[in-house]
Amino acid sequence: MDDRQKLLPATTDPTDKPQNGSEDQGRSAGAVLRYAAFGILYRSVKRAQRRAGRVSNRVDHLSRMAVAPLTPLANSSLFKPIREQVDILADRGQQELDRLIGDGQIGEERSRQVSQEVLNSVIGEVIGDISNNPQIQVLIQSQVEIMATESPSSPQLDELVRKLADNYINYLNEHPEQVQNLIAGQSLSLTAQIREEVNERMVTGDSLLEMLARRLFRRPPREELPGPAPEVKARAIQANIEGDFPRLQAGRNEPR
Amino acid sequence: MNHANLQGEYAGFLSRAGAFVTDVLIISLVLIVVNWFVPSMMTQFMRIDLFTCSVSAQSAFLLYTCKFIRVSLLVFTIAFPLLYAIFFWIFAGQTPGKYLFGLRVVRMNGRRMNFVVGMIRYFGYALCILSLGFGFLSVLINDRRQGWHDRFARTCVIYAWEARQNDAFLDRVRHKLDHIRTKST
Repeated sequence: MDDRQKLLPATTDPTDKPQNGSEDQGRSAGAVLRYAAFGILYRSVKRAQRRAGRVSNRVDHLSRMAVAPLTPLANSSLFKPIREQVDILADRGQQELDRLIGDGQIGEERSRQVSQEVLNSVIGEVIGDISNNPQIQVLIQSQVEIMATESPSSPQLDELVRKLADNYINYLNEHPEQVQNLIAGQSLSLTAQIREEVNERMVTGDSLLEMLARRLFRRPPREELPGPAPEVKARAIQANIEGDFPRLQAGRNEPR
Repeated sequence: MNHANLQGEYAGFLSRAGAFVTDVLIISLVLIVVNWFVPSMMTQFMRIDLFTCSVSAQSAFLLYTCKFIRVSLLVFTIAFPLLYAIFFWIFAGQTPGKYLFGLRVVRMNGRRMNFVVGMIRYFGYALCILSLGFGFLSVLINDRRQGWHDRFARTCVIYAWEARQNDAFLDRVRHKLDHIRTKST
């Protein structure tokens, strides 16, 4: 496609399309004029570029033609002091340029850091504002609900999940001892959880049965009765407490 | 909704029944295995039928051995539950069944359990069983949640773990019962 054709859609306004009546004809004529103006401008730019290129080529050619016969003269010892001065100037200029490049690199790094810090702080503030904004919360909630109600499966997502799962499975295959520890820990905690759950239900069942029986026999409820003595309660944690074996303790305390 | 920690409080009927059944199952399992294993081994290796003590080869030694083992097995069957219970009460304050249900047997005076108290408690169990379980049902209405065996031995059973009951559920039941009572009156 020609470059001029590429320009057309970009400059075309939907209102420029020919419509009914003389007004539409006027509009289309305006568009034609505009296109023509663009065409002239574009062509003149192209021509100018082409001419500038030709001029540059000729200047290069001429300079080469002029320099070639002068090269032996310039390399002669007559021009040595001038050449040296030029070399010194060139060295100095190169050094200055290097320094500028170095400063520029440092400055760029600094400005990047500063802009990163500013960006981070701005992002932090924005995220904070967004996370605290009730409207955003409502929006997220509604989106999540929509996602939850609609079928969440997509081929890309499925593929990603499959890859991740494969990675995990490979890792677990390579480190079976970690899996064993994990399963052992899980089963232990699960057993303890089940035991606690059963025990809690048992305690509730204890109180329920007793409540029914005591109501049946018109006895005062458990809440009104005193609990066990402190010396009895002390044995709840440990069956044998200090002082249960005085002879043993005395034997231990005696000096050898 | 769970509330106060009931550790050290008197343990109720259901937990105690669960612990008792667990202990009975453990004891039964041990007795069944032993009473099956020993006669089988004797028949297999010594050609002795332990129940009739009929020895294939006439040997006084084998005959007396058979009778001795038979009596020993009988003694073990009777003594094992007693030793099981008393051993665990004295040294751990709880049998395996009671451990599972988070219970502990304690003397009312706060002293540690001993053999005599254990014996009294054990035979108290026997009395409870002979009374068709009424002795156990005493746990439901006794102020200290004691069965007959506990009262004979002056012991009680307490929660050894941080027991918590569902107070919200119990309150709901209590309100319902109150409602039923007021309706009926």
